[in-house]
Amino acid sequence: MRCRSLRRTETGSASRALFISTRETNTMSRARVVAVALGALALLGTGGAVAQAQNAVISGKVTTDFGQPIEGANVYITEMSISVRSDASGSFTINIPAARTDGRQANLRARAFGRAPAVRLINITPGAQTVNFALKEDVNRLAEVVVTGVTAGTEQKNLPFTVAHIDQSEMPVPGATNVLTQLAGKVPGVEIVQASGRPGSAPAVLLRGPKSINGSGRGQDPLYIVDGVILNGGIGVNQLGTALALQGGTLADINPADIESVEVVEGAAAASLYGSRAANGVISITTKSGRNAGSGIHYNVRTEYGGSDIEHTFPYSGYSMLMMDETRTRFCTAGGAQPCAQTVDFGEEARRVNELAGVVALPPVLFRQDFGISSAAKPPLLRNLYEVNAFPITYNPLNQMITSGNFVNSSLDASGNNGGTSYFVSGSSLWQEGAIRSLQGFKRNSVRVNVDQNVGNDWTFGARTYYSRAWQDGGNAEQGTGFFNLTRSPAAVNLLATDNQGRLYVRSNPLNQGSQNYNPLYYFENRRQSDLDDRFLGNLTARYTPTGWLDLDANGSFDRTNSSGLFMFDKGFRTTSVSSDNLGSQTHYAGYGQSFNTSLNGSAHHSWGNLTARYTARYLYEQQDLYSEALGGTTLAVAGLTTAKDATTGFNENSTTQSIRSVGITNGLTADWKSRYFLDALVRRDGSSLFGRDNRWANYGRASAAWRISDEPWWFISPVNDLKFRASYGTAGGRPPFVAQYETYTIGTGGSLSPNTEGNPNLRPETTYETEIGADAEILHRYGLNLTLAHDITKDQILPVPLPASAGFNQVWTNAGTLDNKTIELSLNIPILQRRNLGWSARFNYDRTITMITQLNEAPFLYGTDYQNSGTIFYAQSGYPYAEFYGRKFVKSCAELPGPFEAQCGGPGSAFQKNSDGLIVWVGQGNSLGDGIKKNLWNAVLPGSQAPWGGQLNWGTPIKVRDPVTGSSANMYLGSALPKFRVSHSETFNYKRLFVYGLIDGAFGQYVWNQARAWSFGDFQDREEDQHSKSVEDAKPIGYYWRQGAADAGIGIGGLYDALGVNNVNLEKANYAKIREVNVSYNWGPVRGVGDWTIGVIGRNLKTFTNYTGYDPEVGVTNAGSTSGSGAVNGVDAYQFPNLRTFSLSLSTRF
Amino acid sequence: MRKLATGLVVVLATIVAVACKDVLAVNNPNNPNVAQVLATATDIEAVFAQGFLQVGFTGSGVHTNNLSPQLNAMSLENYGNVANFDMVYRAAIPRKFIDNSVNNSGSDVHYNDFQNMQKLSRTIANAITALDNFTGAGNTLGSTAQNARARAWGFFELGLALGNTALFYDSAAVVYPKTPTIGPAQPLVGHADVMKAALGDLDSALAIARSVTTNTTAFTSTWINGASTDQATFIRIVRSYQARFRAGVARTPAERAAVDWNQVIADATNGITSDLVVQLSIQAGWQQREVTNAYRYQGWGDVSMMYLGMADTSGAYDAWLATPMINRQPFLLQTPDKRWPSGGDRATQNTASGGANGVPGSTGLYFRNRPAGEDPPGDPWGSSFYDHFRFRYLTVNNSDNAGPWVEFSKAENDLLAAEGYIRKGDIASAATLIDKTRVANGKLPPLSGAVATATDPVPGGNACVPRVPVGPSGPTACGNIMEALKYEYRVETYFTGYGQWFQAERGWGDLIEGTPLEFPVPYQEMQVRLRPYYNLGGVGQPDAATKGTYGF
Repeated sequence: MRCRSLRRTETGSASRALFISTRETNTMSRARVVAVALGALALLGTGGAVAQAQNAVISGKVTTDFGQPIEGANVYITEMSISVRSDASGSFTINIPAARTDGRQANLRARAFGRAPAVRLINITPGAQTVNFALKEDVNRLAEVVVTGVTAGTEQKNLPFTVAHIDQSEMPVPGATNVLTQLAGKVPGVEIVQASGRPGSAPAVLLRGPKSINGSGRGQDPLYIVDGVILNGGIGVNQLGTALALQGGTLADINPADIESVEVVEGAAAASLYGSRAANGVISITTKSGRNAGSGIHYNVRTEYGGSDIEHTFPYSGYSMLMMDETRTRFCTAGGAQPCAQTVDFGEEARRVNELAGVVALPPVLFRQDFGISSAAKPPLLRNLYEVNAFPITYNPLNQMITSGNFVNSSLDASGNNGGTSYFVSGSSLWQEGAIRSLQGFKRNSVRVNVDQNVGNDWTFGARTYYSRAWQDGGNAEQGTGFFNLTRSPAAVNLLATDNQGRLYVRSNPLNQGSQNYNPLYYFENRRQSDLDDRFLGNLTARYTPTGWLDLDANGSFDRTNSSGLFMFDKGFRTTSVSSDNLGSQTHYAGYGQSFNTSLNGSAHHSWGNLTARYTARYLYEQQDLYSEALGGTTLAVAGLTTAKDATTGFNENSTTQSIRSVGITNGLTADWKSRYFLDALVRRDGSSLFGRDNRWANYGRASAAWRISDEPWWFISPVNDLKFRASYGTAGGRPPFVAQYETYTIGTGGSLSPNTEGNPNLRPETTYETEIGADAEILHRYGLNLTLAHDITKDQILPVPLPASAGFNQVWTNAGTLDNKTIELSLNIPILQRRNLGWSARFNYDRTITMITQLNEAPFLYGTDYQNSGTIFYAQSGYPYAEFYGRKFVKSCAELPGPFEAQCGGPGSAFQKNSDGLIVWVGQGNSLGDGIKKNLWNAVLPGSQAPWGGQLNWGTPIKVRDPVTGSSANMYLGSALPKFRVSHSETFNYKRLFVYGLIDGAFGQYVWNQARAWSFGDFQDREEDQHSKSVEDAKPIGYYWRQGAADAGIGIGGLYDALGVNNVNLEKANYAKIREVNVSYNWGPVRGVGDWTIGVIGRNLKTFTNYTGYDPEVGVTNAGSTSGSGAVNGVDAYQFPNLRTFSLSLSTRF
Repeated sequence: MRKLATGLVVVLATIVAVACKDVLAVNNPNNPNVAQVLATATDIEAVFAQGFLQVGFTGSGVHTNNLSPQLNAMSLENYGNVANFDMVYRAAIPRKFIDNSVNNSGSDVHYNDFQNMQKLSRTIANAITALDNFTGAGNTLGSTAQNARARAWGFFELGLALGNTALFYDSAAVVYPKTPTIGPAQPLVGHADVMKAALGDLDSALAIARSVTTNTTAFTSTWINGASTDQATFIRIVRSYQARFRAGVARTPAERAAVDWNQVIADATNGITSDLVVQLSIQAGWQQREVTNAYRYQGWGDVSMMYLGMADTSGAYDAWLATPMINRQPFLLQTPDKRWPSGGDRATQNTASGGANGVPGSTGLYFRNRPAGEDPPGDPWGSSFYDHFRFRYLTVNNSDNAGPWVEFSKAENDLLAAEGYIRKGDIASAATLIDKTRVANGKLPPLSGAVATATDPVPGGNACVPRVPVGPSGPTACGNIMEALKYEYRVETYFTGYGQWFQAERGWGDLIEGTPLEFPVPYQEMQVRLRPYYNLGGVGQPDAATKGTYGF
């Protein structure tokens, strides 16, 4: 029996430790099971001291090797299944009932995060004895026990592949609304992109690069597991009742304060255990429990209050090309015989068109020279008109729309360990208002109850339950309405102006550039949308240990999210022009997503001398179900109602049902010889309903080995005190979207049926084959170094292959390609200074992933997102990298010109010269850039017969690279959306009671398409278009930024607006480094003898260092319709809600 | 051991219990498959009942991402100066080629109609096969006449799908009912062969419809929303489309001259007797969003004076033509044609236009001089002071896609016959047909009795309509009967059908130099077929209009 218990704990893990039992107290604790189930408060009240008479009392302190107390260290006697936790002073006390004080010897062990464990041999005798531990720094975290991806808890030092373990203490800045954000920059190979800053939105996650060329309908995020619950996909119904996702998962509803640790399984080799859902890797979260809480009840209270804003502003132009009168305060109207016979005041005209009783703004007067995307200027003006007229008054609409929103996050938890029962109970409340005036942002309230119970000698039970209610405002507060309208608003627009009825203007912009001149604040204030999620997570685990060599456990998990929402325009909603919105409309949507998984596990181990082996078998059944529905209509009968019955016309109904079922059978074998050589082999047979009858089953597996070479007796490189080599090869799978196997017709309006997808019952899983090698070294007992090289090849890419139109169906999902990722990961841990009361450590991470499409069994294709103009921004072709932008290219170097013209390009006097924007332009032989104005050459034209590629050129304007044969705009490679490498650096400093932590991370080499900038060129709102202070050499007319006129026949291509296409001007290099997290706190200690108070300041996304001109280079389109399925791939900056910068004050105590 | 055995038994029993059931068999309850779509007689019939909707409105009408905006811009039926849906690319002068390169700006637009029409041809062909199998097994949809109705409509819809493709694309694949659904892709063939197949399908539709001699009332359908079609009406509709297709498929004046005009005359003469009108309804799927969008969004739509200016008798059009295009400004059109508002200044014409939201044709006016404040922005040369009541009605009066949409006007049908008569030298018959609208709607002097030859000027003296440019910069002179026909065609078919101006103008030789005469097979289709893309059109390029009738 001793052998069994010893083995169990030594290889135990965070979750395995749940089952450490205190057998002597089992009988009395059974009665408390009921009380626990009835409620946390009842449970909290049952705490009490265990009788100590005649007991053995072992006490002591756990400190660092410099004598600093370690709080939360786990001190335990494995042979007796006893475990306690050290308090803030590092002290611990173990009471052993007299009945067990038989004088035997036992190992007293101490383990703390970031410290090498220690063991003392003690005698279990009545009376008191003192044992102190001084734990050394565990630089490489070799003693960490991981449980994810392995068949049994395994210490890092023995692990043959990479599983990152992040303890709570390494996450001193909790995620603002999502647990994933607190992982950013902490693990090499983990790319976390907060593509949208909208409160409550989830970041996109890639582990060692994307695994699917097409991730639509399934995403590229890893598999998320919380306390054994495999999360379902976010229900996320949209306004038409269409489910947004089923596969993958969401963590937006999880309270970050509940988390004890996170484990990240990056590669397929390690993720094989999870079969056909794990090609993207696994992130497993373990929440807190009371098992190490010690006796009694321990409370933690924390509150954080602060605000959020947006770091960068939009570079508005304060000038325009509108014609003004001599006073420079009024604008000339169009029409009339005389150029400026009539004038208007900008603000007064805005007031006039808005100040009426009706629901539609009046048409404004036409301003003279009011050109923009919707209003063409003739070529003479395009090349002779400059943006130099100052608006009399400017407001900066962005600053008017942005406000510093509240950030309030409070949590309370209680934990305890009483006899055989341990518990953790928490509640939290979060409100992130965001930074948009009139929007409420994101609110979440949650409750958690975690209970562990020992029953008898052989059984242990664990229960995890979590409930949250999350509410989100402004589901469409970005893109089409909010920031897009801002991009169209010139600096003179006053968004906060109100009419004589106190209403915000609906058309704050009187310029005549389309009917989209909306006041976004009016929209936010008057349209109504709320999204409500109720989520329940539950997990029950029973473990049975009938013999010393066998463990059996059963696990049942449930995850359900009920979603509902309302989107409406009330009757009388005002618009800029006649719209059905004036009549009012409502859409109610609701649905649920739930997953249920259950597993049976058996594990047996045995030792033969120096060889120890463990065999594990597992059976897992998973079921995911989703249902969503929507109901709505238009033309509301009465204003102010929210019943669907209010709608009288335009009814729409929709619903979706999906079910996915999976079975996994796993067999694993691990072996350890002399604690130097480790082998691991695993096979999983995996069945999924997402494939046709004959292709439902697939096999996955891995083989891994590790060699602790520094433990060899002959090891002679003494500075390297620890060195392990590891190698692993394994496979994991990717599954198709739900509909892929089915032949489908689309049911259109009125019941029309049209073929959509040709079914493919022969579809096979995408399979990722990964080879991972690496080394972990500790040098001079001081520097920890981890290096991993991974190469994963994902074959049988599941792709929608288009069919000839006459085939009837649009496409068929087929296994038709291979995606290849080569990754380098490097991390370096340096405890710079470790003294008593003083600590200073640093960590560096570096990773680089190159993603290539190595095979494509279909024609090259363009892809992107379903957002405006971004559907064909990337080009997939065999032998080329993934996620590469293709588009138009303006000539930036002489070498890009065709041969004969290259010779005419260069310095002063050349026919082609480089302008102040770095673009090569035609100026004519012997001229200079200033001659456009000095010699009035802006109207000069180089005929096509004399111009590169035969395309006529206008003086001084950008030159587009063309196909030499067809004359078409060449579709050329412009840059990659994926970073070339990423780095992060964190430092932790503590001095006595002061704690300082900072994390900076960055991504380099990636490009972002700044579509907002491209659009603003077309509406002349960008500061780059200001010409008022430019020299004659640098000044450029409006056509330069928009359309050139005759050269491209006024079609929009040629000017920098470029018809809103991707080009090498609006595609910007988006290198950045970001101060991601800062925590400065001071532990005050007890106040008047109560609690243990800590006060601190916390910053998130504090500062971004970049040359990118948009709001934030960390951006991407997250629309469900994107081909890649990941905001981390879709490098498009198209009016998304920018990332929020949060600064807050935190106050916490415990008692 | 007893404990161990107990544990193992529990585990194994659970596994066996779960594994014995085929838990991995899951259906898709959200989308039907072909077996479900064609499961019953009612289902099969429903495919044909939906066919016309999909030809006319799913492919080209339900949104603006289709060829119509470009076709209208190329023929200047509408002037749009925004890049949306490539309108401005096609409107630009000098004309550019249709860029069919990978990721071209109009790629979705170019592909949409091709894909939808080709897809629909396959769907209908499959349904005809399913129907034949169904009836071949001795079943009926209700009666023999109903069987024939479904089959006739099937061939009619198949003909429309292929015919519309042949009108605007240079090549396409031809699908027949017996074409295997699995196997190599049907090859691309030239538009002439595609149209030949389409006309053959329409012939089949006629033959099947005519075969119904008993229980003819069972042939009646309401498969065109708002237009009840009995056997005779159906036959007339088919024949009108045959007339449109035979004439419209011609790319050049030479090809149009070579059209079998005798057959066109015969078809049109036996064609529709009144406008084929669809009642638009979003709920039912009948939409014409392109038209409403053209009016709704500033810069998306304007009535161009390039051709309609020929109605002017004040000299303003002459002056406009004489002005370099880049400096042309909208002008006040004054004409005896009563379809235009009258008045010597804009304010008067505003008043004469009546209320802002008049029902088209209810006052006799087709065009409205809009208040100056509502002028959309745009290149002045492409703009005017005028809206057409038809799209204004659909947009403003009926709030989005509700109301009557003229899919095939009686005027178009008659003018096709009239053109045939002119080409055959029967001026009197032609004049009679042209006068149907010229006199009745425009209150213009009749051609009958006034025009005896193809070259005689239309009556009216200096106030004749139309006044036709002698050269690209004017001046204008009274047009002949063919010009009168063209003027009537433009005014009467304005914003009806599917690229009506474009079809006719390329055959008349009226398109502006360099205008592409057709669209290439979209590069997406070429890529699927692993073939290189190609461009079409542009000044001096193949498949482009040369300087024609007016020297534009």
